[in-house]
Amino acid sequence: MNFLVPLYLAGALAVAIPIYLHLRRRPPRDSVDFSSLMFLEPTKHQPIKRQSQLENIPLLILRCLALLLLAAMFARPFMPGGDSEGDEGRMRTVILLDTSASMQREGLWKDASERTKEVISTIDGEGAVAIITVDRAPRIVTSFGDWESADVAQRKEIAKAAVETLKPSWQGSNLGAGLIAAAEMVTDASTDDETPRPARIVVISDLQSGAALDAVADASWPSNLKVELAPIEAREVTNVTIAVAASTDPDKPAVRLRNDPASEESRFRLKVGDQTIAAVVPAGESRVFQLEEPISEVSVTGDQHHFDNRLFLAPREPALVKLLFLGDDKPDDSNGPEYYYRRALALSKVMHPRFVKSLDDDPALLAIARPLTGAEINAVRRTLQEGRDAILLITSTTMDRTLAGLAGMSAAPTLRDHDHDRRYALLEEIDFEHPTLREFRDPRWRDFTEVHFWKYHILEEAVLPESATIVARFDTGDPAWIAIPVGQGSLLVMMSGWHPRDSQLSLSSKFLPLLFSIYSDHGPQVSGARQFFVGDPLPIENDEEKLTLPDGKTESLDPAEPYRPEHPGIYRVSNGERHRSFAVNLRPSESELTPLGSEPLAALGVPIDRKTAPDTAVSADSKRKLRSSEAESRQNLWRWSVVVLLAMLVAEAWLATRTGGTATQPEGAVI
Amino acid sequence: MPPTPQLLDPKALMRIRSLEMRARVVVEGFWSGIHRSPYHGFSAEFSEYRQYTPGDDIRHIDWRVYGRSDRYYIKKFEDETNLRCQLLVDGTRSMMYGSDPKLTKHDYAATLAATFGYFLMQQGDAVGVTRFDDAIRDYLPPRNRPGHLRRLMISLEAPAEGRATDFGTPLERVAQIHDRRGMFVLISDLLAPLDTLEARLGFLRARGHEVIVFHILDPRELDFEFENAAQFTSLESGKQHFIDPDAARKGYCEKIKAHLEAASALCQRAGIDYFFSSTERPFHLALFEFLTARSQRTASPVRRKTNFQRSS
Repeated sequence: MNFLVPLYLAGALAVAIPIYLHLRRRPPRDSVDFSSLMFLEPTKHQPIKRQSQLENIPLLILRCLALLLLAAMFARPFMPGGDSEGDEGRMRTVILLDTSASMQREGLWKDASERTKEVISTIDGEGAVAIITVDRAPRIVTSFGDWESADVAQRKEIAKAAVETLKPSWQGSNLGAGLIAAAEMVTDASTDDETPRPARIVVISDLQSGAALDAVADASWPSNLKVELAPIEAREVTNVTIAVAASTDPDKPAVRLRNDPASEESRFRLKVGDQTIAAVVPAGESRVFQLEEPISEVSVTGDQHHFDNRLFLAPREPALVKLLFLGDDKPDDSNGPEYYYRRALALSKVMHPRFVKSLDDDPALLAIARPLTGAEINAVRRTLQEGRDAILLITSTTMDRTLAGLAGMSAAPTLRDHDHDRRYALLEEIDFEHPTLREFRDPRWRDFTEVHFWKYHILEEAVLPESATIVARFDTGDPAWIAIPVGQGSLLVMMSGWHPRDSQLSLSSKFLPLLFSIYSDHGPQVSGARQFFVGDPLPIENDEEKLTLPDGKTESLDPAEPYRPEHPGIYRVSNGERHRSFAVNLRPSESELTPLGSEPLAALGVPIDRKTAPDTAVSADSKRKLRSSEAESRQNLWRWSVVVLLAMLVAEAWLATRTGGTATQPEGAVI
Repeated sequence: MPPTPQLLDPKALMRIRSLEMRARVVVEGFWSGIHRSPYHGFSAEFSEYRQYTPGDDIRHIDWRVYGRSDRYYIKKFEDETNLRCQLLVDGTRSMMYGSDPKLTKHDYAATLAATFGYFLMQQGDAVGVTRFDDAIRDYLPPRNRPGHLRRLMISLEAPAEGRATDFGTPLERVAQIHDRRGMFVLISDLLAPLDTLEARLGFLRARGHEVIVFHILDPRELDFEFENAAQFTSLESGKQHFIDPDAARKGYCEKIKAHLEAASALCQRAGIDYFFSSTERPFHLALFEFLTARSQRTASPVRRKTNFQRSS
């Protein structure tokens, strides 16, 4: 038997303590409490032990043994020769090769593939090799089955040739998933073994701190498996990375430059279109730069690793919105309502309007200012029930049937012209809590007194359906704006036109926000994320069939399969009439390049082989120590020592109580 | 109704955990209305207001209340008690000794004091308690109010923690506090030099107080019937001696006997009623002795020399 820390055996000297204590002459331990000793004289002669020899020999032996065992336990005993050297030749090796974007750094991939080939070369006759690459997800390059089915002489060459075909990708690094996949491969292969074979996973990676390790947290590892780390270190350390930063102005994007803590440089150049901006970012810090105008690509130069130096931005694109105005007036007649409607919802940074002429074109936004035919009423009502919003301007008393049909009233209401006495009407009792007017909820925007209504129509409130809400009234008390939910959509009835012949509404500052407020619920969404990372699925809609890759090539899309981009760049999708673009960038975690070391993996329970751990020196002596340590940790003799020690302590306590009971009466008391 | 002897056996009585209940059991077995206050009057302790009715002494009308309310009110005070009795209970750790751990001298003394207290309060006397070791540790002035008995019991139930006995300072202090004549009942094992005791008890007696001493000892303290030689630890001082009982018994018994005689003689000299009681003795006998002493004293204020130890 050997000991890992023989120095602790010196603790065995502590057996002298119980021997001394057992030799010592003890005073009588029996004690009696008495009220007072004032009438008692102490007895002069105490009992003397006749022979000066050890007391309670069994107890003493137990105590000495316990101390010896304790010392041995601290010295970490192990049986030599337990190392299964003979099995090493039958070792299964899974090479886990990191192909994440960070491996694109200068020289790293070359080192990694050479290291992989070295590992393959060292495999002995009965050993087996499988290769798994890992970036966003693990991928099996060659399995044990491939190795065993290949010709014995050709195996290594085939495996090396497979390594030659590999390239680092632009994906993030999910090293944890790779380890799990490799462990599963070992487990699967071991199920067919008659005698268990040792296995190892050789991780060939830059072990960057940005690698995801979450998957290994709850993993259980086969007992015959060791994980060897073969870290590939970059020769250069300076690296700056570029990412999107939050910007208050969507037309002025902001970028963040972050300099790696290990960097030796702090001066970089930011390239924005034709411009070059000097950027000073100290090591370990970051700086945000706001750009003057939207641009699709920004790059930074000045560091030694270029893989993460480009940033792609998707400029905000106006959303295509189909609009329909059903009115009698000409679109360019400034006396009619359509004129103002078209101008209010004109081409802007957020909306690309397309005015359609018919309900068949499926307009997203709808306004009606004329009496509709029965077919039109049914079509509009269907549209509303599907969740669209519409505005109905009552411009004449003849629109009673249209109103009844759209609002779902049983009978046409009676509409009367307002008998104005040259006095204008104002709005009052405006329900700012109603969703239609919620944009005006802020007290600053609540002043509608500047909007005068010259001409409007009067409707009997009683005829309105129960679900209708009067969101504003004229100061005469008549309803001005009525919101009527229809199916999933809603209809806003305005009892006056907005054109100047009827009112000042279209000329007031309230008009634009009012239209956008009305349409905000069910109108087209003009915002939405268009910044993505390599490997993220792009939100491509069903009708978008054509995809243009950053390099200009086109692909047709399968709607059933989410598309995951493999390269950074601008991706464009199109459905024939609408074009959208997505900026795809490198995952920011790939730029966290600080080497991880073996400790975080060991802390997560990964069975790291300490012989090959990167932060362990490997001299001959230390190798021997490591072997001893491994044998000791495998045999775990100290745990058995603890069990025996506890048993001995229980026995000691029991024995002590027994002998203690009889020892209370001092022997041979002589007065 | 005569008390049931088994019930009043101290060991049986100690099974009743509540001190107040123990006192009640002893007293109610004894109570026959033999002691009743013949006096009525007004004391300094205000009780309540009552409207004047013809026949009341107009001296007791509260004129300030009349000034405020234009009505005559009589200010009622608590009745003056006949007797102000202060129970002086030894609180040293030596009292925690008991050959039967369920019946220590402290338990016996507390029950005895509670019995006296309960008895006296039942008949309207004011009872207070002083627990002392080498100084006064707890003091309750003599009162006869609702709730006072409860406080008395709580005080008596507190364990004896004192590390030294000194009759000098506590008795002197008690004498200073009590300028009105009353009764002092000292319940102690008197395991301390008796020199100061004589002086202090004499001082109390000289101030006109009645003093009764109950000397409590455990039977084992009288016979020292221990079997084995051992380290004897003094509960009071914590000192240890190795003692062989067979060798020490004779000398001890002589000394304790001399001590008892000295205590008895000391009390006789000072005109104090001295009662010795081992913890095996039923409480009603002690109460009987106490009442006998009281009645004899009430009947004849002349100092008498008594020693009930012989009679017990």
